[in-house]
Amino acid sequence: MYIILNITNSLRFFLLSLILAFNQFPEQDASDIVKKADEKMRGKTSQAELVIITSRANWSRKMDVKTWIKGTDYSMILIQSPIKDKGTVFLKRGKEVWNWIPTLERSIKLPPSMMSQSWMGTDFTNDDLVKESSVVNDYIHTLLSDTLIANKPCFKVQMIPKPETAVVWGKIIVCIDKKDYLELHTKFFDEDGSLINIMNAYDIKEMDGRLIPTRIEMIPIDKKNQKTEIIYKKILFDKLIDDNFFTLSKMKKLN
Amino acid sequence: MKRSSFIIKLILFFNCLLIRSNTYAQIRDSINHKNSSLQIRGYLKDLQTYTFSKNYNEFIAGNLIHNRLNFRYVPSSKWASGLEIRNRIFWGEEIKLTPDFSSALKNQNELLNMSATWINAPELVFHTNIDRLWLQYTNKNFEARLGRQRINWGISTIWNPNDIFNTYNFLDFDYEERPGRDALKVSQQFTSLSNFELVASASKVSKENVYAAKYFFNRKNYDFQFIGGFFNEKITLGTGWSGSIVNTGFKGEIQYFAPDKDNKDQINFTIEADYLFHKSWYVNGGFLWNSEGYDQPVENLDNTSLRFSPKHLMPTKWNTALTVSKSFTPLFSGSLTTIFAPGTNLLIILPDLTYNIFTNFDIDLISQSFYIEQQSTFTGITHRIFLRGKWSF
Repeated sequence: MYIILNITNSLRFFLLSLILAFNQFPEQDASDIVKKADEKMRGKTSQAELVIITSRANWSRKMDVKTWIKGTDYSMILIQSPIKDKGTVFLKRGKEVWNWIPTLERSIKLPPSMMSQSWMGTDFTNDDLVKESSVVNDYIHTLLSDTLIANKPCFKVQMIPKPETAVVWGKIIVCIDKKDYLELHTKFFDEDGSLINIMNAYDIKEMDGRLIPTRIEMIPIDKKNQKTEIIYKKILFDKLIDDNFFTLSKMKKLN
Repeated sequence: MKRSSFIIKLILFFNCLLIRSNTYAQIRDSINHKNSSLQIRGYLKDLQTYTFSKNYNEFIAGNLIHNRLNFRYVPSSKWASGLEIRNRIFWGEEIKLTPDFSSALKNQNELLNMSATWINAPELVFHTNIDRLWLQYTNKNFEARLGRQRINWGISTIWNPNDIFNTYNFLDFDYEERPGRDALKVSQQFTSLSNFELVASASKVSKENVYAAKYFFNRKNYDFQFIGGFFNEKITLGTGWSGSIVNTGFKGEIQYFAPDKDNKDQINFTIEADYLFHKSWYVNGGFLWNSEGYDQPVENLDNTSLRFSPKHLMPTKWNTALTVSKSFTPLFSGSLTTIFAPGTNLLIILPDLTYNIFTNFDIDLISQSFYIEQQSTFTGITHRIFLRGKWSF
């Protein structure tokens, strides 16, 4: 019995070696590509000033926000305009999210169900903004092919969520620039395989010593003339932010 | 008293100058941006009210122009101060028909009178109140704030038994900031998610002073708080929590008030759950038990006291609330809240619609309908419809 098992295992190993040898893009490489692209935009920490423009056929609204992000566990978003929402803060620590409303002078804990829903009426979800789910750890990556995006050679990577992770999407196809590891084009699919959103990145500039796309647009597929753009005005990477910054008392004092 | 009134007049004169000047926005922007230590913000609202009889066959109209000015001066990382002024001009049939309308505008909890009634005519009332005026000192994890301030210890969203310092009428949607309290608050933060607060608040009647302490901490993704102190010279104890069960928010608060010679001991207990569904449908369901509330049909409404207080968040014993809200577009949203009190069979239906016309201009259409059981018949009492425009600056 032991021998039969051993043969079977050897055969499996042999077959696996063959597959790996003939596959030009081993899985490990796909994960590395995604990891490099993720690290490029995320850093160990980031502090950014953004403009978010939500557009529809007949109107558009602009919002100025500041963000502080540390890893996947800590993030803080401060709204600076429009004036009626100025001073509103979202704090995320692990799985918990609090919302500070300056008019009421109180924080309200938000239900976890809000993470997958639209943030402040934009086409981005809360999860997109605070990056709770990790594109590196929560997905299985497969390199599909090479492609060209805005004349730049890119890797095309498929990401399928791992069974145990609760993420919003059923599948993501991401195109990452081969030279600078920039995520230039992404397609988001739901669990039924229907295309829901397309994300495009433009205006590649150097900010804080890194080459990054400074304008990112999210376009919902089933809604005409609708999109949300995020424009980076400023971003600082890897500046030390103490864990103690991400607290309820700090969120009251941001301005 | 005269002196505080003079100060108010001086501040208001300054404000009037600011508002009348068409360069106000530029002044504000230059203050807000070039020197961030002083900030001025506020809003101007116009509220039209129509109060209908139970069958909608008669109505009374009321009008309100409501201005709020918020000043913040933060000269250093240790010191900060705040001043918030509320100016309101009421006119129309509603105030003509309400006896002693202007005296009802005063907040009975305030120790110092920082309000003024500029015009008190039968058909028009112009009233001003300073509802925040505080000085704050911060040193590392220690903070002290002295003056008129909002002390908000509520942890749930519909009813807040733990909010023992402030009295407000939850139907007064036009006063989002809620009244302030003359108090000293000191707080110390221990860890990222634990802190201790001690508050002494004073009222005109010393018997109504409130002293209490709160310890807040977070464990296993739940916020918890424990409260102990004296409310109207009697012991009060409370606790609250806020967390989630799977993806549903789960919150609650309990507050106990010891008996005094006029009142039995009393408990307020609330529990609620909320969930944000796909496509921005939000549902919140809550329950409130007030041990001293009415639990039988009220036969004579005119003789029934409906004064809201930290002990009486609702006049009724058993209360349920269900809110459903939805963002139809990022600019247009609506909600429907239904409150039902079994026992008295009081039913309140509160729908509202909000539309953001321009970046800083919103229009709201709000309605409040009241029904109750009287003489074994379930009947409407009154219906109110509000139309409001709000310009934020």
